Order: sequence, then structure tokens, then C-alpha cells
Amino acid sequence: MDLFGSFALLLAFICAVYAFVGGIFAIWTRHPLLVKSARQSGIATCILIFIGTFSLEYLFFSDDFSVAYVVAHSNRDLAPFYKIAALWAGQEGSLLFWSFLLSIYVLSALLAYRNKNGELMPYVGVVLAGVQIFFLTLNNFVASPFKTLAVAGAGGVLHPVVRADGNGLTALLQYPEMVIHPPNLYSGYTGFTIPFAFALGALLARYPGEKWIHLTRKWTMIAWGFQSAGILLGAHWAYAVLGWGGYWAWDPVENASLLPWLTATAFLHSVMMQEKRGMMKVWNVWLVFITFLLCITGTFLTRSGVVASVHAFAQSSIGNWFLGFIGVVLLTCLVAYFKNRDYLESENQLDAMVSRESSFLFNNLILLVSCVAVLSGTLFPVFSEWLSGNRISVGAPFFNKVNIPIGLLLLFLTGVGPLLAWRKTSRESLKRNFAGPLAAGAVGCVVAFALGYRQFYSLVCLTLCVFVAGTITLEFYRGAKVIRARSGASFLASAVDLTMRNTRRYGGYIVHMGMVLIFVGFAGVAFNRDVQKDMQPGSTMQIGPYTLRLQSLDSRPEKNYTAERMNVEVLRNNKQLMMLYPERRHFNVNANEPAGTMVAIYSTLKEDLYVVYAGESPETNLPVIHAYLNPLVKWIWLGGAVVVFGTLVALLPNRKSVLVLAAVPGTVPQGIAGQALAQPFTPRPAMREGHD
Amino acid sequence: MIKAAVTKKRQLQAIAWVLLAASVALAAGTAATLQAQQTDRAKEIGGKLLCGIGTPLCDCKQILTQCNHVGCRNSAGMLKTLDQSVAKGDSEATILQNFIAEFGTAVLSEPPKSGLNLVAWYLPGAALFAGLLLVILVISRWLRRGAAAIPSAAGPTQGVSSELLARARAQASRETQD
Repeated sequence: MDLFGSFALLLAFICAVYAFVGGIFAIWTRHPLLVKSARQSGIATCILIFIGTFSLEYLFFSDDFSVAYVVAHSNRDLAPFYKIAALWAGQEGSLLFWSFLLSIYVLSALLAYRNKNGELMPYVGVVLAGVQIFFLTLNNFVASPFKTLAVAGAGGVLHPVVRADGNGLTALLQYPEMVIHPPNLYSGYTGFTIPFAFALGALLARYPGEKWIHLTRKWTMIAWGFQSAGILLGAHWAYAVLGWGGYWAWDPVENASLLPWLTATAFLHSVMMQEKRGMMKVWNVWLVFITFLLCITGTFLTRSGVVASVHAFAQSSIGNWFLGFIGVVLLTCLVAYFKNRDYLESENQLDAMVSRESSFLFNNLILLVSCVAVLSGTLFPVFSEWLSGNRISVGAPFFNKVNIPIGLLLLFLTGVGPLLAWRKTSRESLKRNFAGPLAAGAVGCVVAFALGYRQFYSLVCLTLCVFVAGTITLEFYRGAKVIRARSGASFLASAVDLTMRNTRRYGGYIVHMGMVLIFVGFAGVAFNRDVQKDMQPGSTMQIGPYTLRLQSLDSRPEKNYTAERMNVEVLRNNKQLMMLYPERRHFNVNANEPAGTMVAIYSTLKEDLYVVYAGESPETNLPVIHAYLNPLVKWIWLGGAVVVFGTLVALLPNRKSVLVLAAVPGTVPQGIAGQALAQPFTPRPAMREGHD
Repeated sequence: MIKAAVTKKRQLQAIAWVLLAASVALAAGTAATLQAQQTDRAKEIGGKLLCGIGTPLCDCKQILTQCNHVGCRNSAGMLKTLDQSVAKGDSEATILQNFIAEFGTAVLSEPPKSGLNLVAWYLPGAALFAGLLLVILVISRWLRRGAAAIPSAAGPTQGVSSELLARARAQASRETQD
């Protein structure tokens, strides 16, 4: 099966090269058969990559320990669930997984537009094939996952070796979220290839601006949705598994996932300027280019070892390949831009400073500044070492100091933007739209202060959250009120109807509401508390209103590991609230690997009681409990779910405008009554409001 | 009389006991407060340090007081040193300097605000400032173009074709949708 997989990947590489070269000739000659063959070759590439990927999964499920990658990341007792995840546990497999997800997107795009956009698609096909060639080069010639184990015999002849069992999957990855977090994140990274291919293709083909924007908007939203879900799942994994009480450490690899998300968010906003006003064409094209480049840069950071991270793959020379690819992509983008920049002339102008257009510009500015801050902070240690020979660390305190004010500004704009009208906002409109949310914000500030949230940034954050929630609620309320007055339906039904009439707009507002909930969660960080204590069975410790009593310790053997478990009784006001069971897992294989933690969390909207079995104290040999009280964390995960839901809503097609036949109200004038009766009744069409 | 004296003596004894208990409680409270302050101080200073810089034990680069990475065998030692220094009453500068002497400047969780490192601190602000200027420049340019375009756009209204009117309506609908 390893040979079969290798062969599939090699064939895929050949097909991709044909799709690329054939595509260029097809564009040049405009020969329909050549166009078709290049497209078919692109489709074949994707199918062959699927075959290669399933071959590797088959090797995992059949415990084929003659393959080095299977030996390194699996073992016989590994649960089937995690054998799927073993695919992306290492460098080689994760690169193949990247190719696999990219192929899903490429195949979908090639099939969806096979009979449409005839002038644009050959260009798009060439760009997609170019990206696939790069990853297939890595899969075939640099980091093949199908290498078999062998030992050198007499005369240097290699003899195949089959190991009895594998090394097993890293303990940190044996957690359910790790099976869904990487696919989500990778789907985000790879998904941005589609808007990139359309943007570059449209620029090269000088294709009408709104059309490629319209075509790629949904692809961008899909990729953005996956990226958002991936980032949040990663944060939740870090929170629930790593046991340090936090969910975001500003680690270089975490930052790498955030960078394209920031620029893609900027694009999703500024794209509306191009769609509606024919403005910001250059900006949008470059936002798409930068988003794709940041995806590749992120992958380069993760895989090159240029910046140290707990999440990174082992240091290797593969980073040079990524650097080269980044250079080629950047050069191509620059050449395409300078050659065709006249095609990107803006069609409209701005009518007033206080308008939706301006708010989008400022929104883009803040998102881009945040991106610069995160990127420069991530890469500064490298540049500092190059320039001064002195290694400097840029950790969480730096990123918090720089990004918290930026994030709050962005939150403020999230509230302001939707209330501003396109073209121009009058003073009366400003007063009418902002009075309520500002009052709500002021009340929110007082309530938050009274509840004890008195740290400056937390108080500002909670105030802004209430303000933004107020603006969003107002938007839904006004629209639903109009529908309710006409239809007589309930308020909730009217709000749903409103959303379905313009899914993009109201789905976007739901996403904004999700972001508000996430920021509520962030506001709690300043009030985190923790206590660590060596515990004997029967002894207690106090954290906030909770008393923790260690009842006993036990050991629970599982198939692949042995769980050392604490039975902790949680009391509040001397009454038992619940039992928590923090664990340490010792895996049967890889005995040298340290034990994995399983945090026990009692989560409420107010706070999380987060209990870690931190190991044994070297001084007393007693088990140690590290307990944290983290306020408002649950809001982050709720907000994440709302963001994903909002993205799904925004992806739905709008409810079509419906022609409703209604009789003309009022009495018929006497003089024409007979005439009217003599003629067949002609109903008057009334257009139900809504947009397609 | 005797009874009154005994009562007074008892009262004095009671006051003495109360005072003693209060002193003990105060002393204990002060000690507890000192302990708490020490812990808070250790946490504050620990927040300015990273765990495991360049050591073979752990290279996780988490904030020292937050490091609970699986397999980190480094933070315990560093935290112990930190606690001892805080207990000795060393100043923050001295403690940080001691750690820098042992692990290098990379042990600090954020770049020192001096020399080349200022670039890291000022770059986001500079980007914001430059971006703000650019946005204002772009907006003013667009506004000027808008003002220049008004006379031609506000031409005679008579004789507007139905096709032009339909196009204008479609544009208005598109531009007010989101």
C-alpha cells in the first residue's frame, strides 16, 4: 500500500504539472480542447491526492509498521479515532493532509465552475495547479510519508525492516479536540487558496472586478469560518489539556494562525466597498494576496524552526522550500499587479467622512495594524538576533500591552460601523442610532463597576460589549418591528424572517454578537486567581467561594494508557457541589514521554473552577493540586459557537423576493363599478421586501 | 468588696487575654499579609520572566508563573529561586538581573525598552500612525473627487431615460443592502 500511495502522489504531481503547463498554453492558444484537458488534469490531480491520503490512513489502520511515519505516530493500541488524527501528527503526514484539504477545495471549484466563467477559469486553474505543484513537490521529494524502514546490510544493501509496534501518538494529541482542531485550521489555511487563485486569475485576465469578488466571497467566508473555528478549538484544547489555566499564550504558532484571520476579516469587510461602490479594488486584491502569503508564512514558521514554539514541528530544512515559495508567490503578485494595475481603478468616490465606507477603512486599518503588531512581535526575536546577535523574547505581556487597546478599538468600530449609512450619515441619524446603545453602554459600565470589574481595560471592554450588543440588538429590533407590523407574526419569527431575507447582513451581525461574547470572556482575564497546594487525602484547600477536598487517589488502566486520578470533592458554603476528577495519563508506549494532564473544569457563566493534578511535590512527595478561578471564560466558547453559527447563516442564500398577489384595497368608484365587474379581476402585484 | 476586686481582676485578665489574642491575630494577620504580598510580588515578577529559555529541560517559553507545560522540569527550579529572592527582600531589578545573568536577556518576557528593542515597541504605534495618515489622505482624496464629480452628476433631470432610472434604482438597492 505504501508503493500504491507513493505512486498515486507521483502521478498527482505529473497531472498537476500538466494542469499548470497545459493551462498556460490553453490561455495562450485559447484552444477549447486544451482548456478542457488542463481542467480534467486538475481534477485528476485531486483524485490522486485523495487516493494517496487514504492509502496512508489505510497503513495506520492496518498497523503497517514497515512505514517510518506509521511507526513514529501510531501503535497497535491506539484508538481508531486517533489513528485518523495520526495522519497530521508529523511533518510529512500534515503536509499530505494540507494537499488533501486543498484538493477538496480545488475539486469543488473546478467542478462548480466547469461551465461558467470561461474566460477566468483557465487562469484560476493555472494558479491552483501552481500551488498544488509546490505541495506535491514536498509530498513526493522532500517529506514523503511513505518512506519505509530499512537497515543497511553487507555491501550497503538495504533490507526492509518491520517493527512489532509503533512509538504511539504524542500524548498531547490524544484528546478529542485534537481530532477536529487541526482539520478546521488547515481547512482555513488551504481555503484561502481559492480567493487567492481567483484574485490573481482575475488580475491576470483583467476580469470584471465585481464578478470575481462575487465568486470568491463565499469561499472566503467558508475559509474564514473554518479558521475561526480552528483557532477557538485550539484555544479550548490549550485550556483543557495543557493545564496552565489559560487559552492563548501568544505562541508563534498561535500567532501564525491569527495573522491570515486578521487580514481575511479585513477583506470580508472591505470587499463590500468594491461590491457596492466599486472602490478599494487595489486594496482588496492585495488583502487576498497578503492573506494567502500569511498562510504560507504561518506554515513556514511552524515547520522551519525559525521561531521556537511548543506547537512547532521538528526543526528541518523544509523552511527553505517555503521561503522560496513565498518569494515566487510575492514576485508573481507584484508582476501581475504592476502589469495590470490600471484595471484596478476605483469607480466611485466618497461622499462624506461620516459614512459606512469610512468605518470600513478604519476597521481595515485597525485589523492591519493588529496584524503588523502580531507579525513584528513574532519575528522580532529572529531579526534582533540577526542584527545584534542578542536573542530577545517577545512573550504574552508584550502582545497584551500592544493588542488590547487595538482590540478594544476594533470592538468599538464593530458597534459603530453598522449604524452608519452608506455614502453619508446625517447628524439626526447619528443621534437616533447611537443614543440607545450609548446609554446601554453607560449602564453596562456602572453595573460592571458595581460587580467588581474595576480593572481599566476590563471595564472598558465590558462597557463596549454592552454598547455593541445594543447596536446589534437595535438593528434586529428595527427590522423585525417593520416585518411584524406587516405580517403580524411574533417578534422572534419576524427576526428570523428578517435574517433570512438578507442572510449576509444579519449573519454578519450574529458573527459580531459572537465576537462581543468572546470579548466578554476576555474581560475576565484580569481577575484570574490561582492557588497551588500539596495535598494529603482528606486535606482541603480554598479558592474563592470553593473548598476543594482531596478524597482519594486512584489508578485506572485503559487500553493505551494508565490514568492516575484525583477524586476531588468541591464544596460551596459547606455543601457538596460536585466531584471533579483531574488526571495524569501515563502512556504505555513512549515511557520517556512525560505524563499528559486532563484538567477538570466546573464551568459556569460567572467563572470556571479549573483543577489541575500538577504531579507530586519533589519535597513532600505529596500530590499537588493547582486550582484556578477564571472568571467569564465560558463566554468565549459560547461566543465561538455564535461566530460559527453566524458564518453559516451568512452563507445561506437569501430568501427570494416573492410576488404576492393582493387585491387593491378600498372601494371601487361607482362610475367604473360596472366596467370593473365586466372585466376579469386583475390583481395588483405587491413585491415583498427582500433581497436576493 | 472582695467580690468586686475579684471581678475587676477577672475583667483585667479578660482584657489582657483579648489584647493578647488581638496581638497574636494581628501578628498572624500581618504575617499572612506579608506572605500574601510576597506571593503577589513573586507572581508579578514571575510574570516578567519566561520559563526554560535555552535549557535542555524545557524550552516552552511560557510565562514562568503560568508554565505548567507537560514535561516542564524547569519552572519548579526557577520559581524556587524567585521565591527565595523575594523572601530575601531583593529588589525587582536585582532579581531580574540575576535571572538575566543566568539565562541571558531572552529570559525576560518582553523586550527591554532600550536600544534596538524600541523598534518592537514603537512599530505598532508607527504603523497605526502611518495607516491613519494614509486613511485620512485617501478619504480626503475621495471626498475631493466626489465634490468634483457633483456638477456632472447633477445634470439636467429632464429626459432621464427609464433604462437609466432602472440602473440607478438597482445601484441604490445594491448599495444599501448591507
